[in-house]
Amino acid sequence: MFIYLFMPVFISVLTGLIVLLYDALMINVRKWHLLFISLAGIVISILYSAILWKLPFSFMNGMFVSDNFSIIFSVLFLLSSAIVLLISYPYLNDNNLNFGEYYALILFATAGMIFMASTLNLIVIYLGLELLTLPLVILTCFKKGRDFSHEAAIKFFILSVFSSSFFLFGIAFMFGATGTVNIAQVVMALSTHKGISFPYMLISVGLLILGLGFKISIVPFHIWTPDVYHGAPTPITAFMSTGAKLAGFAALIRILFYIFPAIHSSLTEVFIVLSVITMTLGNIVAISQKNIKRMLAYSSIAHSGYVLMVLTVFSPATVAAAIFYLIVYIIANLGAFGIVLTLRQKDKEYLDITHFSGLAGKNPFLAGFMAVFMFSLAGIPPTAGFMGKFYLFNVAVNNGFTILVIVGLINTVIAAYYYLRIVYLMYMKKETENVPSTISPFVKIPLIILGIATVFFGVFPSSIVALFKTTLFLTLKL
Amino acid sequence: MSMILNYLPLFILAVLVGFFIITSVILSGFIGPKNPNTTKSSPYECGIIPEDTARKKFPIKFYPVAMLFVVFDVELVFIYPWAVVFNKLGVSGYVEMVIFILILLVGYLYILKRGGFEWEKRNF
Amino acid sequence: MGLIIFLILGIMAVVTASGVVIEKRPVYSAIYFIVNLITLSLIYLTLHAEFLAVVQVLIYAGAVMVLFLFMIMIMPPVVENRFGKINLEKFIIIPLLLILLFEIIYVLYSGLTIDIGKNMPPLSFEKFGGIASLGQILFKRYLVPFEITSLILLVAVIGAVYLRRPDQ
Repeated sequence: MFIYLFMPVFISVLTGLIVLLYDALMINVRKWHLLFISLAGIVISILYSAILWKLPFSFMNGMFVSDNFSIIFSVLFLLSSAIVLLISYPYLNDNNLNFGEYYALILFATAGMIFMASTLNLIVIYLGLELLTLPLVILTCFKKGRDFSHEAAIKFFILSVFSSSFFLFGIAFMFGATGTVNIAQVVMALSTHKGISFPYMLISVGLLILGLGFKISIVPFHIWTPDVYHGAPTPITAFMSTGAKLAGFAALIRILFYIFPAIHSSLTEVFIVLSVITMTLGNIVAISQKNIKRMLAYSSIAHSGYVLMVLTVFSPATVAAAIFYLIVYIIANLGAFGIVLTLRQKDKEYLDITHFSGLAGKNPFLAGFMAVFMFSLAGIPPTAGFMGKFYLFNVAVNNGFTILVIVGLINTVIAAYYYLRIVYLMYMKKETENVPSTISPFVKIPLIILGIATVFFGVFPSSIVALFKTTLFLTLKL
Repeated sequence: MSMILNYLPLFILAVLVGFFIITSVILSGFIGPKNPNTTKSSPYECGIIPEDTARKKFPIKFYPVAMLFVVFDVELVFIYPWAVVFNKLGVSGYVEMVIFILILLVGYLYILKRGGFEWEKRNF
Repeated sequence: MGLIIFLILGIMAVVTASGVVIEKRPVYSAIYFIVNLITLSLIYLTLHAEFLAVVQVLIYAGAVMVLFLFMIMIMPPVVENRFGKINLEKFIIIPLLLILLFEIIYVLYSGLTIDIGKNMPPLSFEKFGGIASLGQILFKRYLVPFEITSLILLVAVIGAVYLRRPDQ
């Protein structure tokens, strides 16, 4: 039976290997073959994940688990990779880059994310993190000789190695404190020796949060984000700000869920402070950005801050609200980056915010979708972003974090300024510079799907949130 | 404690080696005659006269070779304990290692095809 | 006896590690680093982790040091002068690091007032860390991490080969 357990991750790894070898060994490689193989692998992976839904399994005492939580996240990782693969196709074609390595690395990174989300063992989380980060570093400087990309890759690599080592150090302290690296056993190990290793435990949790906080760019550890998002190829930026971030959150939620009972509420204040500074700094700095990718980078920092709000209390409602918010965020963010990607001609990209001026007159399709995604990120009613924020703030108020919600609301207003500025430029301004746009069906189809999803989740959110509430939390306990 | 004592011979050997090296260097410094001149004091490079400083930039080509070496070295480290417990692991252990090596074989084929092992030619 | 050995090795490790950072000439730093690695491997030996000690020498002192030395060879010699400059960052970072160190020591010390030995997993000291027991654990319980490692190595191979290629 346990073979089925590994199927989603096994298929994505296998597809990566096939794509890599197919591109390297064959003489006449058609590029769309590679895309087709990768997408087929992802679809099969998703189907296998769907088979495992509501059938919780645990392999080797939590070394690899498959519960509803991990399946939801695996499907999200796979879907966001599929969209990234699609929107990358015209980009790679125009820049004359290698398809085999690119697709294989994205698939391996996806496998790493799935490992991070579906394990109770800290060692596996660490290795998943590495399997996610290493491909991302290579992909960051995939287009060689491009401005900033080498600098971005070096910064990303050094800082992520640094944060990984903190994470490892945290694992070591955890093992010292409890004698186990299985987070499900930590509470039990601590309760049998009450109070004995508590200080070690606190150090350990602090270091673990530091390591993952780097991945999801919480504020003191966010400094890499704008530079790396700016320097990486645009599809990879989309991948980093959605899939990779989601993986960090998956691991963080799982670790905190198991460990919070052990450390009681020692870290609540820490999370409140982190949440407030993350939201505020992200949003305020985003206002002054001239480059659309940097702006979206700071906005993604701010969004991490919103989610952190509810991660100190674990109940079905908080987990459901956090995951719903993350889904809404990745849909809008993938869409926004997809549109940023279309504003280019061959290998020249137009990344200034002013390049959006007058887009509505020239290309109403792009402008309309960009407006939808911006509304969603800002949290304006008909879109999913509003419902995401609504559930999140609602849960936070119910758990007594009223001050956090007030800060969050102020931040939403600040954020609305820079999101709506793009809409304003697109619809109200005249075109200042002749900005070409290359739109191919590989970008168009994902954009339409994402746009529809944004509106759909904005109008009918309750069913999916109710589904998360009933299914996710119970199996998280295994 | 008993384990540490197991390494006592090794420790004695290390001390002896260190003693031998240090004393022979110091003694040759004291006992040997010294007649320095320019040729003698210059670094010995297989009899060829040194042209300029050795601290120059080397081609980056060396570096990927070293990186690939590290990767396969790490692979070797995993095979080492596997070989020791091979009999106890049975078929499952065999399958695990086959998967491990197959994945790295893909890497090997990739390097081969992309010209990672070629020094001069660069026909990617 | 064990304590004395540990103290000697520990002091050596700290001194050589500081030497790596303080030394201005990169090659000397590298040599300090080798000594540091060997010291660490000796510490592993005293903790009965023979395999780890062997691997430490084999991988770090053997393979990873080659990377360091190649890096020093590839870098232009000018870089040597840029180490050890006194600047603003140092004035900020050193106090911060001292505070961090103090915090860790304080927390550990307050933890040490209680008996922590009880919490350790039961280890059979004769076998723990030996190659056979490590193999048993690695290939039975830690089979998933083992396979993930091969994937990470594969990604490293791809990176090394792809990034080496000249610009298009």
